[in-house]
Amino acid sequence: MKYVWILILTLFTVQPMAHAGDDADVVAELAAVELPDPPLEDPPKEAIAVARTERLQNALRCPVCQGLSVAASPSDAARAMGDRIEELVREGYTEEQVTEYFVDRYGAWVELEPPTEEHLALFLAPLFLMGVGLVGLFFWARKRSNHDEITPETTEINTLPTPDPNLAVWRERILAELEGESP
Amino acid sequence: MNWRVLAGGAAISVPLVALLAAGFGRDPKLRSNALEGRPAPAFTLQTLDGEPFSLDEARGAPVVVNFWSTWCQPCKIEHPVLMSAAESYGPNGVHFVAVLYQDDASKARAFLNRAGSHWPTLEDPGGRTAIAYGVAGVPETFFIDKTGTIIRKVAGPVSQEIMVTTLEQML
Repeated sequence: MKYVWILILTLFTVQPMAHAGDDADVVAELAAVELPDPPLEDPPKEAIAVARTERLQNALRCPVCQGLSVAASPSDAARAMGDRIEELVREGYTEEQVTEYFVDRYGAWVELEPPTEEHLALFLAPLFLMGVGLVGLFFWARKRSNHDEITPETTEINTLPTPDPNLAVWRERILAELEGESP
Repeated sequence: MNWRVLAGGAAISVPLVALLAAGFGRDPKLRSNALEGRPAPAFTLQTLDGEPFSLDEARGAPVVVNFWSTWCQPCKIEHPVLMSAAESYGPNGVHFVAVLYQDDASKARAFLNRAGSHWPTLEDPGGRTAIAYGVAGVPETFFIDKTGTIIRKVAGPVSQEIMVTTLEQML
């Protein structure tokens, strides 16, 4: 009789487990995603793991948001990514490894701050162009001020009216009259 | 003098217009296809029926991996395309597999009971597989060739035309 009770009890306790196909833990236990590389370090200390996770969650972009970091977004996708970051950090993956993992999958876009050292030209180009512009402006201004200094003389010479041949007769007459008056 | 002004203006505006033309020609919302041409990340997940499914099982055959969810309308629009493709190309040895993205298994079961399916649907706890594939929204579909290389990633619903041409290319 005792064994019957034990059997009944076991059946009742085991039964719910057998129906637990939906149970997240069971599904999670089975789930495995292969990672390209093993972690480079041993699992870090708690405080270090928390700090690294926080830094990475702030540096990586939430895949479904507009310009939000994983840490800043309340979306399910960001939460899943945040949890994944934490898992990887706790397994001993370095910050570079985790960043690389996400960049490999989502592209360089996933980094909120693009890597400056790889695209240095892109960041220096505006400064360079501004320099070129300033030099150009300087020469233009100098040329213009030189031009202003010269103009009065040149214009004076150039704007002297050329004598009208039709007026030559009158001109001589006036000059003759003036000469007649002068003595 | 006029020619010099014109040349100066052109020197500034032509590269600027070219840059803008190149920039506006690109969809800023388009995610990178960083994984195209690279080996498909391996995974083992549980189907909605509780069976384990590993991508390794399908090695040596073309595989279509479709990330979807029941809250995504474009996924429902895409469903018939997947159904007809699986009907036509399943017998040719193409494996079709769906991965549920941030959704309840019960909702997925209810939808698939109504709409039907010719492929296993996998649960992805924690979205690890979706992250491993760089999924940034649903639907996203990955075409994996016989060697296990991702040859194409389609973000958004796959059209019948793209589905057929890509599958023909993989066979």
